[in-house]
Amino acid sequence: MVCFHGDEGALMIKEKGKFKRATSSIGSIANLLNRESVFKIMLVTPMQLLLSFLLVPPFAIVIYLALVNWQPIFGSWTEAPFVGVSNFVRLFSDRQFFWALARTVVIVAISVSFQFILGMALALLFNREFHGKKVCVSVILYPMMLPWVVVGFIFYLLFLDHGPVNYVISSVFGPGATVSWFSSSVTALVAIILADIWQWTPFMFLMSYSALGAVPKELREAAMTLGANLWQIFRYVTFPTIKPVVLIALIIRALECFKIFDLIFIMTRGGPGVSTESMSLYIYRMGFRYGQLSFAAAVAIVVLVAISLVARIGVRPLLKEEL
Amino acid sequence: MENKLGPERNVLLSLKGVHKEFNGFVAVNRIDLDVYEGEFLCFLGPSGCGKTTTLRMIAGLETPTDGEIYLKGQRITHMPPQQRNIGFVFQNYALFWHMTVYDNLAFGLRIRRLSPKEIDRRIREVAERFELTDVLRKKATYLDLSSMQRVALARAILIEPYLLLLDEPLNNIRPGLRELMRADLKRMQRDLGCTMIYVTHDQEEAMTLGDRILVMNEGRVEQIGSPLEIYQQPVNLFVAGFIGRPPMNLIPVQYEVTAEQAWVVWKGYRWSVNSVKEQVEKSKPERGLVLGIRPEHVRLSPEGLGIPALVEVVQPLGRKDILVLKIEDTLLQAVVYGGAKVREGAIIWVEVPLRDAHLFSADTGRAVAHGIG
Repeated sequence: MVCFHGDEGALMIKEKGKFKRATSSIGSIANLLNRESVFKIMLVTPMQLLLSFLLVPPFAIVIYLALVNWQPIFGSWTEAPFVGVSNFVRLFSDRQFFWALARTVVIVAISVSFQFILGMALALLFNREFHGKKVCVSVILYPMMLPWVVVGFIFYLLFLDHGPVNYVISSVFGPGATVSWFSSSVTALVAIILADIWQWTPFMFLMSYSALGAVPKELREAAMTLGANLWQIFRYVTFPTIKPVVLIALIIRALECFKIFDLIFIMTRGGPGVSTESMSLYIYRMGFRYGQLSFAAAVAIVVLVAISLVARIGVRPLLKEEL
Repeated sequence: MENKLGPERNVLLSLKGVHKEFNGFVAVNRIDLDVYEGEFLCFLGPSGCGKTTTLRMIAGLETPTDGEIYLKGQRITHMPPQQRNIGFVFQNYALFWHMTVYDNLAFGLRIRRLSPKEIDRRIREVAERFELTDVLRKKATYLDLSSMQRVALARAILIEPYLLLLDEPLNNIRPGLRELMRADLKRMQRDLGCTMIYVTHDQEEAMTLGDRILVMNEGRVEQIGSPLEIYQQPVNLFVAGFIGRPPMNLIPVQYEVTAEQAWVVWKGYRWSVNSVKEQVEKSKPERGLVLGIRPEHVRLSPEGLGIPALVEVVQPLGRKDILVLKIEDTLLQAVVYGGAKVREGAIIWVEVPLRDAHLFSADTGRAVAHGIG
């Protein structure tokens, strides 16, 4: 490793973990740089500082807000009264909070599972050469590129009482079979989950597809010559080799889906009542509709901690695998 | 094809008119081949000659466009690879890198639903002979190349295949270790008595390993025979030029008959080829003949005898030197013993002994005669 130091151009040559000075010019600074640990820290510092400036202030503000009782109508947030953990106490006694949390978890679980299964199935289907493959792949990826709002609007129209979905249902099963999708929480959630699956299956497809493409075909062929059938090849050879990528994709998707807001906001506004409200919508309602920004901040902190814990658990097998 | 291994050997594998095209490109052109039980057969040819494709068709990884493949008398042309019980060692070994060596070895046995105890017994036994006992618990990713190669081989052998196919398995191994592993492989094949087909583009590998060698070029079989046969009696110009290093000198010559005497003539030098006159006439050489002489057969002769040649380059190899000689405008390679002390720029006298020479038809490229006189 060779690095040029400063304007003096003193050439440092790294040898056996230590810097030796080739040409001496600046005595003391060069000596300091000779210590490898100091040098490493100096390399990292600028980025670390930048990140800290970007991350620390918003965190600090959210924590501060959660510990005081401030609403915009009360005046300046710097003069808001300190209330300690009472926002958190109130939060843990709010049933709507737990319902929103449970609902979000259910949406994530169902939606991401389907995205994974469908995405993986599609990826396996596309893991061979055929005519028109490129066109098919770009068509499949299309939903992912649409803005949330557009997807929400499309599915809102699809599931309207006199929309295409009900039209198909009534022409197949008769007019009595139509469903008023947005008037009950379960059917509304089904519509929301379908929209999310439609939009984000392409993402799981893309990740699985590219991971599959990186598995040498010889691995599958070797398994074949050893007698493995297609399912055994997938189960014991292909899937384990792409597992790290798939796991990362699942984590990304789960974290994304946990924050689901736009789709629900467009399709149901959390209704009927608050029965399709996700965590984000709950925070939005508390903070912006009711103006209780301190309480919303407390919710945000709890959600953040919860998500970090879950993500940590999700990532752990991955780390173990790699190290 | 004559069975050189003795009449008691049974045909294990048969290819009958096997043909493979990829989008109109002929990769393998109507191959007929019998492979005998217990033999070590090498497919030898330049890259892209169709040898790997042939191997893959035998394993079932490719389906022939035409022709049939028989294993133990049973037609397997369209049988999926899973049911063939043919072992395959890939060029890059194709180890399951997320598994330990043990799991790699156990893979085929577990699919065959053997009891864990039996699997363990067999793995221990094979690991012992392949010197893999110490790395059984290691992940396959962390092995060195030679261990990877042994794991790949052991994994294929553990399923007790009828036939073992190897696709250039020593390609990635550094020279030196390569020769050792080659010897290992040969010894192991003898000990186990298993039938192997080994694909390589390295003639030295094919010559040292194979009981028989199949030389392929542009999808066709050029010649099948023992290494010595292929070296001594190449059937055509391709085999003659491909086998042997440095390659055989191929010199276009004229054929002349004067007063019942047959001669080949080159630059005013003439050699009597009376003894093979009949063969030459039968081949009706319109565009003349090609005289083939291996560099190791070109001999130095005392001054004034034979053909004078200018020594262009001397490539010393220690025990022997490779000389590039210039005779008028023709370059000729010769291998002489290092003791000869030939200097570049000198004029030396060489002799082309016809009993070691070959004659090919310039029209068809086919061999006309080997060893004249």
